[in-house]
Amino acid sequence: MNSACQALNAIGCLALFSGCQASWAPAAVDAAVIRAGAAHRSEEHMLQEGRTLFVSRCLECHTLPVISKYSADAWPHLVDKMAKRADLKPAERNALVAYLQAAREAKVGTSRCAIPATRSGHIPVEQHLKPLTLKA
Amino acid sequence: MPRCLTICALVLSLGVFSAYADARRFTFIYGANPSTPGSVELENQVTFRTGTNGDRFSQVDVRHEFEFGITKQLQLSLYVADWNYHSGLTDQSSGYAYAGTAVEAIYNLSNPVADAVSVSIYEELKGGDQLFESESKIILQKDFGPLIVAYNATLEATWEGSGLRERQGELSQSLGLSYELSPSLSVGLELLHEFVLPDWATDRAVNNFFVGPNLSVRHGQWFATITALAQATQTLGEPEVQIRTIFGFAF
Repeated sequence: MNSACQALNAIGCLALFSGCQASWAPAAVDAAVIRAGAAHRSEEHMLQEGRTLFVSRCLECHTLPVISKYSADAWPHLVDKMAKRADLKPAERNALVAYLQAAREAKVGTSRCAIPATRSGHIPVEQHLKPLTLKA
Repeated sequence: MPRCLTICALVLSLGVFSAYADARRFTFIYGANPSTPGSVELENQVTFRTGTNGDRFSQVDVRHEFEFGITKQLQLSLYVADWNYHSGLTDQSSGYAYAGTAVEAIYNLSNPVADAVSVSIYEELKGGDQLFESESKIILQKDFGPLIVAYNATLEATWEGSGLRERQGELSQSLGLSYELSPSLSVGLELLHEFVLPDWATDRAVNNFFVGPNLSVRHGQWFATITALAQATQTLGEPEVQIRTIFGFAF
């Protein structure tokens, strides 16, 4: 059983101190994100605020998805659906959407992914359970 | 089987956009995220333990916790009255007992996504009839997308009996994994390693190791989490099985 305890020690240390930020961490507000945001007239401080909201307020209810999983058009609708529960003020909502769209654009460009909004702007709930497949 | 699949699909779809904030994903382990500022929540915790000490013993511990989100970093809690029902214990007759009242503070230092690791410090002070207890923890957490990994290192000191002369220490560490299948449903694993020191004497130390699965469901204003741990060591007098549920409701 000592070996089991040692394994627990090892797993704990490895998992938590390896410093593996990996690709799960939301993009920092770097030059690419600032450039993508500027194209939509979003300023750097707004993008910073949006990122802070993403890693704090959103995290209160669920783990964070990879930003590129949803299209730039889909993000505003997703945020709007959860804004009330997250108690987002209009300016916070706008900052969050601006960051998500800029971070997505900086990561994958302006191509649309397979989880877009419909013509009416509605996003079918069941779509969010499906894995991402990028369109050509 | 189709009914089972239907129920699973329903549970998965229920909380796609309506997951409960601040839900506990583990029961024997604390996550590092503090409660939302301004939030008030009631968490009822029930733990069933059973084992053998010559004869079979069992105990049910109940805790009622009011949890308050104070700031983005600080959370305070009040355990109104801990009580238990026990049977088969060598030093007590079967029945109900008041176990104490406690206060708890958790202070968060970093974020599990934005930073390399989220760190929180925890302190709980408990007082009761001929009982004083201090429990200190370092809580670590890292989120890897839908996978949450949490680790607790705990030091517990207990003074009890007449004049609080009986002393006991406990060092423990625990590791939890929780995978979010949807915002309303998580499944995972908890591992608990206890090092009990009666009278702080290392020559009488008891080493226990428990492992088992957990399940957490959340929706709207409530959440429920359950963990079943089995003892992987063969320590007589310690529980063979521990099952803990936490039911939380936000006001």
